[in-house]
Amino acid sequence: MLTSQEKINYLRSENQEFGPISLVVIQPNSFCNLDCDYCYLPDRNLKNKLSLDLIEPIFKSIFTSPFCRDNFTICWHAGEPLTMPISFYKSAFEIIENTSKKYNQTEFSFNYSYQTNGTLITQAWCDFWQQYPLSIGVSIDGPAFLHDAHRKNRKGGNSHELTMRGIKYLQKNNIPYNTISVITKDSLDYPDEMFNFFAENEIYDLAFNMEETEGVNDSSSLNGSEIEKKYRYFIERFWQLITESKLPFFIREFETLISLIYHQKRLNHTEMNHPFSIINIDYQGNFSTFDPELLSVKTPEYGDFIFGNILTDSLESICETEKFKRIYQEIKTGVKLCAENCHYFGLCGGGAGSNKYWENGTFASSETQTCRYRIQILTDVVLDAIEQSLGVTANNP
Amino acid sequence: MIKTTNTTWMGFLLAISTVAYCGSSHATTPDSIKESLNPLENRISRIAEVLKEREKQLQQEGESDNNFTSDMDDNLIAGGWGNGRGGSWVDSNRGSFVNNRRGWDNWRGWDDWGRWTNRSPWRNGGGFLNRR
Repeated sequence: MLTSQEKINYLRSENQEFGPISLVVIQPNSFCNLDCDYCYLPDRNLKNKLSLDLIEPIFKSIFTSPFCRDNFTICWHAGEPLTMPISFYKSAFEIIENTSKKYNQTEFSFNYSYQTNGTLITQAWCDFWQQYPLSIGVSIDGPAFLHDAHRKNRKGGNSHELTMRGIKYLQKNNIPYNTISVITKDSLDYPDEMFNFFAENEIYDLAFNMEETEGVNDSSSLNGSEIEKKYRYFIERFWQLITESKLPFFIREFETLISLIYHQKRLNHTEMNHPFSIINIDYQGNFSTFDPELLSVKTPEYGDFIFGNILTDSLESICETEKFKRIYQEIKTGVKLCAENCHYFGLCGGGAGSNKYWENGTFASSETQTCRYRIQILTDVVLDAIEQSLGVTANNP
Repeated sequence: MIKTTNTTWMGFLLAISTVAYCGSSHATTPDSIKESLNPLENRISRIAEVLKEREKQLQQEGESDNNFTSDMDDNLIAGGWGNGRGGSWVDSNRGSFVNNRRGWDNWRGWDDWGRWTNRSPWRNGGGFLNRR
């Protein structure tokens, strides 16, 4: 029989393979002021708020965890984090800094980020953000006619104008930001309009997310082989426009892929399928790991994906629970299937369990529509384009 | 001296592709990849080899006073692939982390969580892909 301390030591040594924590996703409020039609979150109409009393326990758990072995980002996330007042974050940041001084005995540090719809950004937010190392992710789907087709406020009105107002504040105040655009079937006919919108507004740091079958969004407009062809053309055209523009665009998808190719680096997992790379915490202090998208959903097969609560459980203690072991085993099986069966594995790392579950019904599966869009088609297009630009063919280096 | 508008991998690729290439490729695939070669990997290895050869040619011809790629940050991959689907490299080696606001033009590499990743600025200043 192991003593408690021996058990802790054993678990800590056994779990050295997990982590390090690179991202802490906190849901300070389940509420969102928008009602986007492709959103996966079930409770975005509820105003469940995180208490400041939970901030110290959350970060004590993190700083004293064996998984705290690298710098990490604290991301304020879904619903809409800016529905909480600035005063909440002022207090939260202060508590986090103090908790770090008390409990963080590592050399590692942290920064902050928000993922926001941008509609509530004001000068006051920018004044606050200027004081901290942080960056902002803004969700905007391109020009108004594409964005407003899906991203409505709770009265059914448009949100694009307010999101753009928020971006202008960020630009005026030199706050580091990027944008994420959800690509739907509607977007695929308008690569030029998308490009022109971003170029004209000097929005250069872009990322594309596919509309996914996930959570309460039970189908994607991107289903079907014809749509995949249109997506291929969309990416081809966007690549062409970027290369011709000479503007300082930074497209997440292109940059990551070229970097992987040049360095001859390959992924053997992702943050989404590796335990404790990401810690997800809800308004009650419940925590999870793997995909942040899983924290707020319940499924018939797995129940919820809450592994513990920071008031009663250490991060490492949940590694011994049957729930964690089952989910992790299935995720590992899925990654193994990807590694064995997919030529793109090294550029992908086995994807995300959430997509596998929502599309295939189990984590223990491989290919999804999401990975066809995000990895396979994208890679095919980019490799073709690079070969063409370099004049490289099978027999002509 | 070659200059483009931005220090991005895309910019690097564009700069490399505008140079007339003299020579032939002697592609050598790293052992770690050779063991599991598939047609896609073969293709990627070939591209990587050509990129490095042409970069070397640029440096030899004095077209670049810097090794652009040595300054490009590995964390781009660790932190920002796909839907925040950042992975860890097989031989991951995360870069430095600076909690201050200076040099933030070089913090890039985004994902679904508004994160940034450190993109090292040019060492020694300048270089053939000097942003802004």
